[in-house]
Amino acid sequence: MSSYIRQNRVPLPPPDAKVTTTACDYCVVACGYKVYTWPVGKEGGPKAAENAFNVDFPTSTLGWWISPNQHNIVSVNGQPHHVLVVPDNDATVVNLKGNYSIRGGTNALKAYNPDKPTRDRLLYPQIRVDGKLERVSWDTALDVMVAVSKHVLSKYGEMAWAMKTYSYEFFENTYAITKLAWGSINTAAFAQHDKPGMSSDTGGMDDAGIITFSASYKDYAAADVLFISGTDPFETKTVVFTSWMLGKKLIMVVPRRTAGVAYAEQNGDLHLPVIPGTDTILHLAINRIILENGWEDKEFIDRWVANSWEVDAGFGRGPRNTPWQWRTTWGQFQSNYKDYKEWLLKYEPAELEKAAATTGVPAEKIRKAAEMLTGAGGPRPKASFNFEKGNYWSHNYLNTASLAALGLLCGAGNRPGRVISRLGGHQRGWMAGAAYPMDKTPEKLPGRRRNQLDLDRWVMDGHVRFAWVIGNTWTGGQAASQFLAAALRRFTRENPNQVTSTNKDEIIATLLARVDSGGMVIVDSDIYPVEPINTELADIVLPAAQWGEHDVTRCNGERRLRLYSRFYDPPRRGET
Amino acid sequence: MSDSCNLQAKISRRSFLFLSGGALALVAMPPELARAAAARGLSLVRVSYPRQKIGRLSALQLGRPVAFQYPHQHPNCSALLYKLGAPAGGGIGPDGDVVAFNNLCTHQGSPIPYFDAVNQVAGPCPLHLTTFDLTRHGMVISGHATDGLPQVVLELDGDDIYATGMMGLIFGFHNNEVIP
Repeated sequence: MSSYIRQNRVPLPPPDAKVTTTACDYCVVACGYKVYTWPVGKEGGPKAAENAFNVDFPTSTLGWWISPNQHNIVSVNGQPHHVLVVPDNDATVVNLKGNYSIRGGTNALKAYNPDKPTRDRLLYPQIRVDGKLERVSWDTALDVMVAVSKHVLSKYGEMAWAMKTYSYEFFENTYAITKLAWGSINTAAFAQHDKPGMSSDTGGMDDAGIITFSASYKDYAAADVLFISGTDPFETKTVVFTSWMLGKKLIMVVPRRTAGVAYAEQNGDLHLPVIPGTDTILHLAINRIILENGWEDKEFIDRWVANSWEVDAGFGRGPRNTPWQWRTTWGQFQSNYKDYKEWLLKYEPAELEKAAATTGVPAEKIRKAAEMLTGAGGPRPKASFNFEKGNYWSHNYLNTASLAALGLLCGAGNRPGRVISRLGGHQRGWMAGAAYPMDKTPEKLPGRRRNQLDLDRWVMDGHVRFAWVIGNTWTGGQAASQFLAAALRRFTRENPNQVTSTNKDEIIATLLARVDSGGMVIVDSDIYPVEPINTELADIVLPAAQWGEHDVTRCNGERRLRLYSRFYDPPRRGET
Repeated sequence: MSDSCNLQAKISRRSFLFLSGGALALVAMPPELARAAAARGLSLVRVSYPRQKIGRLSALQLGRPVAFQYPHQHPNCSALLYKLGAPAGGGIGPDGDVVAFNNLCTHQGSPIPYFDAVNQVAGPCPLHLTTFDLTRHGMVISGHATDGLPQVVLELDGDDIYATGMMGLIFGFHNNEVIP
């Protein structure tokens, strides 16, 4: 039974407590934090001279404070220590003056403590014996992985050796992961956590020439109007909303009336409750109103949107020799602003009344959005355009293509306060240590180029004999299916070759027999038990260190490099 | 929720904390209360707080909170006594709807000037929009704060309402029981 006991006190760090810096591990914003650690058995006092904060307690209203949920007990060099993970109130970027969310504010609770729910952490390497995970040494686990990998590579080739990994859990790790898979192994049987292949999330945006993480948080503060599509940043990237967006005119394109939407409505802003899947029509309807009334930013378009000569000459992104050309065929679908305008003004689904019926958004609200974004012929406001999964994760190319067109019509193009950008989900920690071996993928587009492999399909078709899963659920990933889960189960647990011994040579012999019978061996690296990938499917489970347990780096949603210092021991027992 | 209200209405002992989860031993309770508490997964432990009269039941009006100071005469210890009109965790009175909470947002310590009487919600806090459910021990509904509003433990003695303890750390304090 879990229990929640409300605390009436929190220990204070003594003046000699160790202070390290970190950033929050949760959402894309990556707020800055300070970490105070000191040995159990000591405590600071309420007078400023008696504590490491140099602050008198009680602090004042509207002041600074530590909540009991910012405290935990951890192991430092094997000794129990208090830890406080406290928002950095000296912050002049990201979380100004120590702003923090309910997620980051409880960062300390995710540190491993065997007396708390984090006791579920994976602690040592395990191999599935008689259906049950049994503790083994690192040497045994790694020897088995090496033996199976060598056999698979020599007998079935690189494409039978697969990896399914997170894309974000720190630059240092993804560099090593890709160096192994793409460089040393040289396999294209590889996919990131969120999708079955190494394709773009936001094709329409990319083809329009917009780098999807282009904004700085100052841009939101500098904007007058924010068009926010497919996310409620108050709920999911809270500090970017309350530190940088409050007070702006908001247009929130979200199907549900979430907390941030309710705030916007209370302030007289606009909620466009779009029927899921109809974003493209909504964008096109707004674009059409803008063009019908001549509210577009002509100066910006003339200067920055390619005309037919520029398209043909191949200047900039979007015209020749770009990904969309590779995916299609040279010269087909070539277009420019003039074509676009003529096409849209004749495109019936974008007519206001038809679009209102399709999207479920009242016509007057669609029109109001066009007015708010452009000034409706009056002074032009600085409009910025933000989007997230609700918009782009349908993998509907036109959602992001039409949103890019909307932003460009309004003069947004990565200039101060006028940006088109994703807000982000997780932080950005992808650093490829080698090139994806595109020549290995058997998939090909109608044009001249190969396409990235769909790993899920490759597995379901029985091409994979060894897979290493790192820090993700796979069977719960995007485009995954019960059919994928059933295939993984069939190739592993339902194969007759199951390990029944803890003897290393016997384990290897059994797993090689599995591989040669058309089965598959799965290794899973993670920090917790995850249903079903490591609790049921994996043959080998490896424990990993997390945030706070090693020194690592990655970037937040405005590309700001964040450093995460180690402040306590990874929960490993025995061997290292 | 009504079980806990009845439970609270009957308790006349001073100075206790609510603990959910039943991990701690029940202390000095009549058997029927202990059974009721166990059924709710609640148990009690003692801490020492002043017993202070803060109002009269008959004087309370629906949706009109009354301000008081508790447990210390410190600016952060401003609290509000509510008659919610809906049964509430820790509520006293015949309807189990009289509760009291410290009124500083547990995020960055702003006094919370808004009370949504229809939904029994404190907030949104003017700084970062955190809202708190007063029928559920002040827990966060939405927003930034990492802990609920500290609840003032109440007892009823005839028509008199007494504050007898706190559940949750008051903003700015490292220990509720240290007199500033």
